[in-house]
Amino acid sequence: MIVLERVTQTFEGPAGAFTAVRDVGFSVAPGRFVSLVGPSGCGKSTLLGLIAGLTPVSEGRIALGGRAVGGGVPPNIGYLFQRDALLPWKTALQNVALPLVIRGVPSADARERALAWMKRVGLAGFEGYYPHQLSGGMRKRVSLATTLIYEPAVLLMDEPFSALDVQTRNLMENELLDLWAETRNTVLFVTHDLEEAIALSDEVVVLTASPGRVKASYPIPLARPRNVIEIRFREEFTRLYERIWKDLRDEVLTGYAQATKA
Amino acid sequence: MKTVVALVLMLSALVSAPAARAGEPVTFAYSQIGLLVHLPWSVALGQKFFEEQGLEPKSYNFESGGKSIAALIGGGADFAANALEHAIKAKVQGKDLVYVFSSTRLPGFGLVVATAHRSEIKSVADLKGKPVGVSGIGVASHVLLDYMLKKHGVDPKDVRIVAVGLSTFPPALEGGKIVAGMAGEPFFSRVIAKGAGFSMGNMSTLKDAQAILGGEYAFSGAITRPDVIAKRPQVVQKVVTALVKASHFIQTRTPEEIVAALPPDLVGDRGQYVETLKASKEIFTPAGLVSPTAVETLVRVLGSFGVFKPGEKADIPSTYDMTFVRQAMKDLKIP
Amino acid sequence: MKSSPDTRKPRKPEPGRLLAARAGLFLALAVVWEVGARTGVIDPYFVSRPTRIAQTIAGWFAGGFIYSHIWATVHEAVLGLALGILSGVVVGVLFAFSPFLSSLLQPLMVVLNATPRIVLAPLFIVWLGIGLASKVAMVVSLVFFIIFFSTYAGLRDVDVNLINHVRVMGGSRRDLMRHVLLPSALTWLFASLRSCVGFAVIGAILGEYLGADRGIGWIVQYGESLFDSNMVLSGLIVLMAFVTVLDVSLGWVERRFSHWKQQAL
Repeated sequence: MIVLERVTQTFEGPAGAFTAVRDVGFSVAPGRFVSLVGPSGCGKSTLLGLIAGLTPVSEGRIALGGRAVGGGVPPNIGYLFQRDALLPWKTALQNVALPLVIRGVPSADARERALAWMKRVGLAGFEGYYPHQLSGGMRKRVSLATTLIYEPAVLLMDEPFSALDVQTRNLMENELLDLWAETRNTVLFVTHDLEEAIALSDEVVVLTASPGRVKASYPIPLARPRNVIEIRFREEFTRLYERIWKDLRDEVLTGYAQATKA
Repeated sequence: MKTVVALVLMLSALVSAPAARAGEPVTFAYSQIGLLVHLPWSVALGQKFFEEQGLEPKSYNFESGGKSIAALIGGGADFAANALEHAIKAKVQGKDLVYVFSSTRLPGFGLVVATAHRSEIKSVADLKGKPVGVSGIGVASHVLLDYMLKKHGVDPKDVRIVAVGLSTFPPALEGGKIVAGMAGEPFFSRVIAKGAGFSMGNMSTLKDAQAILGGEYAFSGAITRPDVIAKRPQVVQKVVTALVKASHFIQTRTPEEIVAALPPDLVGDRGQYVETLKASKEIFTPAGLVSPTAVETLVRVLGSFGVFKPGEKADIPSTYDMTFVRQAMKDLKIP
Repeated sequence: MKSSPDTRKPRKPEPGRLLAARAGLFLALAVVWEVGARTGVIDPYFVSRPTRIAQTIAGWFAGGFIYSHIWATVHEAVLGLALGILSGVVVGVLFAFSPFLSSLLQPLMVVLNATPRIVLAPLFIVWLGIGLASKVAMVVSLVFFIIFFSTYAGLRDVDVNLINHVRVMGGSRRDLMRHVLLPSALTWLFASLRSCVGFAVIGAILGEYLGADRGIGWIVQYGESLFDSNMVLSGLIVLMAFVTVLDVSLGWVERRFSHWKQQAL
């Protein structure tokens, strides 16, 4: 579904040209949940932005569902940002309904479907609330509903739960898996939390420190449905974690050395 | 919603232009309409003398003399209520204006000295080296003070001239900021009545003005443009006739009757106004006429202040025209 | 699993008590003023007394004198406000969408805004005559800049995240305009609207004071030329009452339209 070939991205920074990722290549099959992990600054978010068509790619090729990505946002893509991207002047319901409104769905219809989704994410009764009146976790759930309501084929998620407290995060991770089980979109999930990555995904791709390259890719054969809280106590989980962590740890140290040297 | 209201108002702005016009429209520009020197205008407006003549007056009040003259020169106004001095200054700068009616024949200022300094200031000459107040730098009171000083042999540069305003004159004198100064009514009378100062020449009275200036002084009145006279002479006549009638009214009525004749909401403190009129009735011309000697006095004083460039001779007679006043006096049978 | 919403706000005083407190303060000041004037502690010539002022104002309303003047001021202020807002928004949008235009003309805007309006007033009279137009121009000269700078900032200040969010969900430029840019600019606009109205009235009054045939500013100038502080102060009090009414109504409008906002204070 998602294919990246020899993708290199350079930016003009204050200190000259800066390469965020170099020669990245991997693919995500349809309906798979893949996580991208790596140290800070390895370019994971940059890659998501490229796949979403928000920034044109410097070198290489990106294809979505067989079609090349370039010059604009491809259709039918969903993106859950790290920071809140809800429109503060719209109510929760209006935010959830917005993608449908943009697609020309008649307002009564859109409202009904938005209401259904709010119920699904456990926020029935909060439709008329404005984002600032909701807690972080609630805002995330509204964001989730907003992204899933138009049933995008591909779902890109950029450390969406990193700003939440641990308990809320775990609960959200479970909810995500429940919803995904129904919709089965193709998911590319970026995180620096390896536990989260393993708990959620079918495959974990490890990126090197900047400039990011694919270091290794690990399939996660844990059975579904999973409960992210309980799964951490399983032996297979721990073994997978140890293996992948060795790879990741080197990159994290390299990344840290780079940052402190600069 | 807001756009609707705005549109409605914009339309109403266009529509609210005069509905039914009774008389011929004429526009007046005043500088500080409530000033005493404009009394004939206020009486004429209050008693509807302009309407009587078949005119529909529109009055604009400006906050300074310069602005009202600018409105006249620019064509926004047909008449300006200003001093002849403005017409002369305009002439010097190459602009033609004509003074067609005179409201006043005296400056309406007086020289007041603080009672506290009575012993050391016995005459104008004693003002040398002292702080003396005028209402503003370069305005009529300053020009007159300058003249008086020179007449008594004092170089104005030896006197510290301080601008103290008109209504703020009393506090300045009482507070010691100035030891003497030029005060206009009603402040002149108030200061004297309070005992805070004594007069050293009250140019609101004919007697003192004669002694100081040698006669009458052409001060404030009505000024218009030559093209108005040329194109609408009947209107000029009508305006002047209304004003002459008002001057005659002022001449022949008591101060109480005059105050009663003014537009009621624009009198302010009636008691104060009556007192002021009692003290300064003499400054008004009996019928709007200004004599050539009064004009000469003005020119002399202006020249002394330095208004004319060296060797320059402005064509003074062309700056005023009393034919309309004379005609009005004839029509109204005023002797 | 439901967590409670964040509605922790510092408590404002109840509206009833606030009103009582304000009225009390106002009355106390009036009493001090009256007593001071009557006993001669402050010279009534310069400041008049509240009772006289009240009498004068009552007479103005009863006799009908004041209505045409209030209407004139309102007329000028509202017209100028509407024009100022419209032009401010249009130019603000143009500048926000054209970096070339904004870098070229931004310094000019700052300089023009720094020009004291008293200096501009005679120019307006020369260009636009002594009637309504020059007063409206005064008002526009004040309001335009406030609105322009707010609109410009509001449009440029939009969180890029929000724009990306709408782009990714399939939003076109029109959608961006409608759902993100315009609401963002509007919130900035509303914030400055209240002060705009104050400035609109000030502009109208100033224009009238300098040269007009009616209006509250005209009354103030008339009173000044008569050396009648009572008239001047009565005119100013009418003006203050007028502005207060406007401000209160606007506050109500503002509250109605910004309840989606988080009030920090």
